[in-house]
Amino acid sequence: MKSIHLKQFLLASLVIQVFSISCSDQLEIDLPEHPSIGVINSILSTDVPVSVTLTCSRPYPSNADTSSAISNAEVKIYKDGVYMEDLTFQRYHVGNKVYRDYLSHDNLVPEIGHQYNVKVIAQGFPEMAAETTIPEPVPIISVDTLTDQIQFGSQSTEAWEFNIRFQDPPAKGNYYRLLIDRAAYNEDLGVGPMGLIHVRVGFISNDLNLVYFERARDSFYFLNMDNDIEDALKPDVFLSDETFNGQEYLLKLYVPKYLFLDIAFPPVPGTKFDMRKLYFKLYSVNEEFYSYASSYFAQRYKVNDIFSEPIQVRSNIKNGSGIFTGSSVSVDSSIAVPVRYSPLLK
Amino acid sequence: MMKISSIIIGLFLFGISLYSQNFTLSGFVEDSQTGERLIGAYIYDSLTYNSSQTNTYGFFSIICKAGQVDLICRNLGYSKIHLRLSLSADTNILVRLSPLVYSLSEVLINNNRNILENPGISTVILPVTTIKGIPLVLGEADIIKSLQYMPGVQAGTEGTTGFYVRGGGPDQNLILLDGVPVYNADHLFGFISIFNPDAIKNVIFITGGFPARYGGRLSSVLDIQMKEGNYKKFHGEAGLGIASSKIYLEGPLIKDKSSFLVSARRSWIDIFTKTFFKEKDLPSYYFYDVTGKLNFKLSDRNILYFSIYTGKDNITGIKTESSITNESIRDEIKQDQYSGWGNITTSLRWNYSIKNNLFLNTSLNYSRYYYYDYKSFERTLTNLISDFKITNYYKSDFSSGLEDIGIKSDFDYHPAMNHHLKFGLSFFSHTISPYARIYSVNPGTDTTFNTKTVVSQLTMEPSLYFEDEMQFNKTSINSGIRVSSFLVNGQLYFGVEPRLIATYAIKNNLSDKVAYTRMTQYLLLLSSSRITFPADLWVSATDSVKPQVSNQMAAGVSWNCNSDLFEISIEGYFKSMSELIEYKDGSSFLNSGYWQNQVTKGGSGRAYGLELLLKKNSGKINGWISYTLAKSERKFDEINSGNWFPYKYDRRHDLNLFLDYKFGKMIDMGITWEYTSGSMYTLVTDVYDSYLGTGPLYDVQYFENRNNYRLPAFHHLDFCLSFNRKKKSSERIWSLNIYNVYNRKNVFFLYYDTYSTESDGEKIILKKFTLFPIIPSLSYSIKF
Repeated sequence: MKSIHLKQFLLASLVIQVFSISCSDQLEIDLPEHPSIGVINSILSTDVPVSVTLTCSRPYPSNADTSSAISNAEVKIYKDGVYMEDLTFQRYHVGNKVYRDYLSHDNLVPEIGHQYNVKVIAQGFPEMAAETTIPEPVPIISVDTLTDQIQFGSQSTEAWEFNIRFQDPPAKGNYYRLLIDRAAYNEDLGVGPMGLIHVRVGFISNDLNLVYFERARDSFYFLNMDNDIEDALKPDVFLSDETFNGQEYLLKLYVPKYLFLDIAFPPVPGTKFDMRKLYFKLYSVNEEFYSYASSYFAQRYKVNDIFSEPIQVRSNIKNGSGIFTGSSVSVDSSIAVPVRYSPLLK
Repeated sequence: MMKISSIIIGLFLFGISLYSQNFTLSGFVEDSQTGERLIGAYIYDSLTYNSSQTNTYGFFSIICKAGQVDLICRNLGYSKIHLRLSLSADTNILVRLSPLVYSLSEVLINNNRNILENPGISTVILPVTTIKGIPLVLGEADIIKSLQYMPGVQAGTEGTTGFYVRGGGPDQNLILLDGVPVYNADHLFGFISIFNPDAIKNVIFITGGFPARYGGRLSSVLDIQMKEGNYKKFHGEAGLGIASSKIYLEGPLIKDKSSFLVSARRSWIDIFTKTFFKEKDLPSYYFYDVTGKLNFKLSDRNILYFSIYTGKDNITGIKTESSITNESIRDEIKQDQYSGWGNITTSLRWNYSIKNNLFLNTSLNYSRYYYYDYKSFERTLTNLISDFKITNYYKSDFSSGLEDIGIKSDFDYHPAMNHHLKFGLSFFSHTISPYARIYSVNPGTDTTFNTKTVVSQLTMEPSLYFEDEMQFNKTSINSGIRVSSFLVNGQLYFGVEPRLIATYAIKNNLSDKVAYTRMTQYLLLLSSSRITFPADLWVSATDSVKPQVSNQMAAGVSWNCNSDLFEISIEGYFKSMSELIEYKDGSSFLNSGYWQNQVTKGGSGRAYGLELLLKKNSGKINGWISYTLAKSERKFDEINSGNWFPYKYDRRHDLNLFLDYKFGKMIDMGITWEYTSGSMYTLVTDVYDSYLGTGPLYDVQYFENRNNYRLPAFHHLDFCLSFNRKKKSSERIWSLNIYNVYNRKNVFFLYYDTYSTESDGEKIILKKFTLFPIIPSLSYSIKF
């Protein structure tokens, strides 16, 4: 009899516990009206004319996922404090993608070591301003290529190993960005014109100095040995010379070979080698761009982490947000494909 | 600060000058039925109005003039006693007070009670009977959650025992169990505190006017004294509730000479899930705690106490074994995961009444808090034809914690009438281990990668204090100074902390109070600003992280009206804090690595507020209403562009109501209602295109300030009904609790989600997660 009573008690408790299961509801938030924020995005580079993308922020959460370009603004460019020109708003296509930027009609190309300012006057926004200096480029000393077998979790994959060397200048506070491009035949992508285009190549690196975009994960992490190689691929990395100031730096990275086995990129007679060439672009960038990128990457990575505070993306725009900065590039290339490529794979 | 120190030293010298030759009447006040020493009992000579209060160990000392003495002794919940003595020499007496036969809540009116008897400024003495009458989630009476109904105290996350006092952080509260610091007071992720009310004698909670004997935290002191155990007869209690079952036993080892106490609780959630769910590999959870105490009265002047607390929470997560066999390959996977935390505290204490007016308490203390987290994953592939095996595995064994060993001596000295000196010294060593990980990986080759990373730090914290309590005419002054130091990595820090607490009786039932306190804190809890968890790391000041310091001013008025039926107090405070630390943007305890790289240092804080308490002490209905109007802000160079921002628990309004109503002698009803402004939350208000990518996945999230949005108000009404049935040799209590009677869906946390509609397509919406809807619970206990 006693045991029956105990079971009844336990069952009653079960009901109560189930009853107390937590729930979630949509929250009606009455946010005070706030004006949209002007956003300037521009990376001045020594190999392209000045262009500025000007947009405004969208309320969040929002269903609009299209950018909101500001088309009727005055965008003034100054070089070393001297007015140069008003940029012109233009809408143009690359493939089937539409760009809306303010472009230099005088083909003003930034020069190394000079300071550039932007001032933006747009209706409905306070006057926005920013300044930057074009840093000195840092040449790539060499790119050495090796074939290697690399291990990720329980998987192993074949890759090319690239050793990129460059000499960091003695002054502190140098920042870098590395991209790898290659030519690809744009047949199956369905975007843009047919023929050869440049595409970004993702790579793998265990270099602890690198700052990069990492896919956001849930707050509660679970044990998983099998790291997804796709997750490990980094298309765009930044690094600071904090730990190697004034020294020659060796950056080791891997490009998986399977990226080149796609039938979308068959060799074209006479262009086979160009298509399989990797272009290593080492950009000298300013601290403001490094801060913007590292805070942005961190924000994206932590977007689902309920335990950490949201991260503010750093900006150097006065009365607005975004980034206006300068960079200068050093390029080297390496032929990567012929090692294993076989037309039979098509 | 020099000026304040000079004033305090001056007050002390003035007190000494009041000294004159008289006889000292001293002794202990104890419960006549149990022999327990009574804390805070008030003793005064009705002829001269000289008075004294028993200290934490039940000791008092009062200077009286030679000749006839009419001594009156009283304590809350006990009958008042008159003693007439003819004093011709220093005398030692034992005063036994009899508990009132009726309940505390029925009648407790003390005519002619001196307003100076009220607790000091920003101080609350909470009777355990009151704590047990407050309805709470899952029906578990809880000391810390009861304090959350007091003015100036903010509950952290709903239902949890985390508390935030006057704008301070969760680590700025000094929790003492029989004088031993407790570093994590949570069971069940904080929904229950580790303190079993059955074993508790007295709770003192100080939020502002800290006497010099307390130190080491910036914001509050929660001083919990365990019962000693009944010296007269055996007594026990057993209970069964939703969350846990418990048993409590006490009694004499040698009648009137020695007693014991033991109480134990264990949750039965794991037993329950194993009983009713057939699935294997379900996560399981349990907690237990055991509290014990032994007391030996070695002589009239010597008492030896030994107390121990040990408790643990354990969660077993994934524990699976699977095996799949194809034609020629067998694939076996084993996973194991468990984590937990616990505390051990012990204290060996010796009370010695050296002279009639000099009392010594010396204790050896040990306290340890630990957290552990173990994970393993093993996979074996076997070729069944060749019998070739390849195994890869990953094992991670993480732990963190803190261990204290210390000795302290406290002296009580009564040199003259209404003059009381307290002084003492202590020496604590803290071994802080925020990070210890043994990591072992075998990727399926002949080589196993083993790493062992242990970050452990031995630190020393000696301190001494001097406290001077004087009462003359209508004024009571407690002035003092505490000097502490902290040795870490060869770096020596000093903290000089002046304290001043003054009360002036404007009338017999009306007083005003002021206090200034400076506090230094060397041990810090590194917790996520969004939620506190057992995995939060205890760390210490280092050569680069300075100790935290606070300065607090408080002033208030206290009024006992209608023959002490009502007690009204109003207090205002301002507190500034410096050298605060906080996780950098995006960092949390989920990050690995050295903690100093993940925090931003040198932060400032400021908090100010107004607190109101209206308390009804007796009658059929009794209880209190408290209201707090407060503001709390933080500032860090690396956060929010170096601008001030609201603290996470900056709650502008906080209203609490507790009512207790007696239906005769058998039925007791308790109601609480809590209404507070919502916590602050960082809400993304805008998004814009990133230069580094396009599309919603790459949008930059924008908000102007940290903690820019106040969550909806938090409120809930709770109800408790107790049925007592007394029999010859036992008393049975059924208790029905309903938490959140009107099913308010309070916000636990917010998150973004998407949903699709035919007309609008996919939409992003903000959702709130509610933890506790209406929760009824039933508990049963029997006293024998």
